[in-house]
Amino acid sequence: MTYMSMRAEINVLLGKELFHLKPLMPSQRVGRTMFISKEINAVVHPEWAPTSKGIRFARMRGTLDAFTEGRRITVADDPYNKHPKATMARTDPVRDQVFDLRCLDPAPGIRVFGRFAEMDTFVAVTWEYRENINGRDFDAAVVRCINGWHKLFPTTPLFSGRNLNEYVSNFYPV
Amino acid sequence: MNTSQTSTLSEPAGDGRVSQGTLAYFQTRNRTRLHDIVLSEFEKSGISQATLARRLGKRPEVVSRFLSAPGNWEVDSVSDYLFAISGAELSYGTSHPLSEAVRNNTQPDWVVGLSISSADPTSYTLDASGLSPGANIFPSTSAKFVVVSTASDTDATKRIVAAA
Repeated sequence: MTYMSMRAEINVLLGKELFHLKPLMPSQRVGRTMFISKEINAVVHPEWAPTSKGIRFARMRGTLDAFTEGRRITVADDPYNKHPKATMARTDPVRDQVFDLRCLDPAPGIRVFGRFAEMDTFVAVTWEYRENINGRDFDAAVVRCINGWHKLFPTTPLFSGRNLNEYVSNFYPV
Repeated sequence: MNTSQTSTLSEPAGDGRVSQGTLAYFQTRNRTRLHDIVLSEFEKSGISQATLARRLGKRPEVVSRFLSAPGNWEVDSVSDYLFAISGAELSYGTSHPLSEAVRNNTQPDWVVGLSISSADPTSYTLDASGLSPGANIFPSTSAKFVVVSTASDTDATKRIVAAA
């Protein structure tokens, strides 16, 4: 079977199913790359509604921009032994290569699920209010991300690193 | 093809109330920037969290929690941590990120496509040797494009027409 490269796949999807999320500050240097699904694209752009949901989306965008601006972020590798405040964390099972960006404020926050396409290139597929994904619902949220990924990239092999250094730069392990 | 929906925030003007979303975004932005500074200073120092905890007279778990995520930190806390880490203090100044020049190199060079900033003019011509401010085009692309905007178009739906 012949595979398209992940980069080629992304270029095919851009503007239709995926969007390149750039930092909201137009003068900001870009330190990492993030592509977002339509689902996420629908909520991360201003103007946000003057409601509690709108405020949560604005803060969520701030967290996503910390990633794309290349800020030093805390990342947890072990889904079952991680600091509760980590900005990014692997989800269980590790072999599925799903990470969540954890927008912690205002509590309980929002989780953005996705996978790395390559080092420092994150494809954000789904998001959930944290209060809606307790217990088994969290596992279901991971599965929803995986299903969304398969719709975007049905045949492309998963990117897999040997350790966190091969996924993301400028991080602090927690 | 518009590969990234661009959106902007507005600088304050007149008596208009700044939106809560804008304020919340900048609050989070500043928290993450400050976290970046403190965390980077801590890692650069080479000291352990245990040492930092002893210097500050705090429990290790308190220090661990502080370093683990951005937060609504008090100025006094930031002062304490930076000084205890390395004798550092914050440098002060202001900037106006919404009025600074737009960066052109905001996407990987392997991403094919045109990105349009809402600050762009409504009609212009691009080619590989001459880029308009706020717009990017893949370097190997030689075709010319014209971005056409009509009264019914929004920034997100500006149409790109291959002209030559």
